Amino acid sequence: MDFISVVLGLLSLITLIYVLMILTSKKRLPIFIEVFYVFAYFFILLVVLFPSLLTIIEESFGITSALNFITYLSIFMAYFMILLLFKRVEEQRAEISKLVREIALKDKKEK
Amino acid sequence: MKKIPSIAELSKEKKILVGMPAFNEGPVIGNVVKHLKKKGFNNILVVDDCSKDDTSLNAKKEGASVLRHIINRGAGGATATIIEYAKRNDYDYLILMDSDGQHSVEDAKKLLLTSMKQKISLVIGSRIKSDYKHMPLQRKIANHIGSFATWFVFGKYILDSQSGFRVLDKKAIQSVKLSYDRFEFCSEMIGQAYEHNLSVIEVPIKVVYSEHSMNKGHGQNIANGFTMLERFLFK
Repeated sequence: MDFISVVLGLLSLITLIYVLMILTSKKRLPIFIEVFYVFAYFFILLVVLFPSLLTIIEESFGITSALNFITYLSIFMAYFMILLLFKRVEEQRAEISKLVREIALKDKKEK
Repeated sequence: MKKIPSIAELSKEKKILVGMPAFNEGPVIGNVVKHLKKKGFNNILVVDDCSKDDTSLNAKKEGASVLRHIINRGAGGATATIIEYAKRNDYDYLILMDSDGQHSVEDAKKLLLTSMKQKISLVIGSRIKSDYKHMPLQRKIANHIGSFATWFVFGKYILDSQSGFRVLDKKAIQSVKLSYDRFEFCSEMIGQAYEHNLSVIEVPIKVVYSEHSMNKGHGQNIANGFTMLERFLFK
């Protein structure tokens, strides 16, 4: 096992433990996010421990390079999640504005 | 020759509100409100968008009603609060103008009369139709980007789509529901007016570019123009 694999493995393990801690805490994330991150980091950990797993995936799915496929898929997933985050931030901005407006109008009414 | 009614006379028949979003306009807001009062506008609302100075105090001193945002939301956010206030208090006409003294009170009357006489739902005061040469270059560019964005997204080309000097009649007050907090609201309002089949025209106005209004730092600029275009394209 080379140095990069060890580092990647350790980082995946730490992140996996962190995600599992969130799962068991009171402050949860949306279930889709929790499941995605558990699977993603568990998969990275598996690939680090069992490099031949990539060869099995290549043979099973007829892919030339499983690593390239996983890399492109990861980039696609990351961009998609950023998009979802932007959408969520925008929704919250609108909600905050609505709240600030109601407070201003309510204060005026009470005076 | 038919006599032009005064604001006081018009106010007897129709409920008229002057609404001004304000952010750190403490040095000038008092004078603006005073001039409006002198001309006969009695219902003046200032929405203080979490200013750090005496904007609220100075506006109140001269007799304006003041609503205060506890967090800064932007010109669009403050304008949406003004419109909501006008809606809830059943105003017949809403005059939106800047609180930094750039807009003339005479023009406010001109826009209002245009809306009343010609039964136009949204009257936009156009700087480009009258005072284009004196408009600062940055504002010209921001304006063109904004007008392009308005045309691209809403299919309507308004020369001065970024002018905040507007009159809305009751139909427009009840129909418009702004969602953008920053200067995108200028274009959004136009788009919604057309969506609701409201009549829209531009009327020439004059603008006073004072030292205060040019040095205040916030306001329309080129970056805002591009941000607006990006927000409309990717909303």
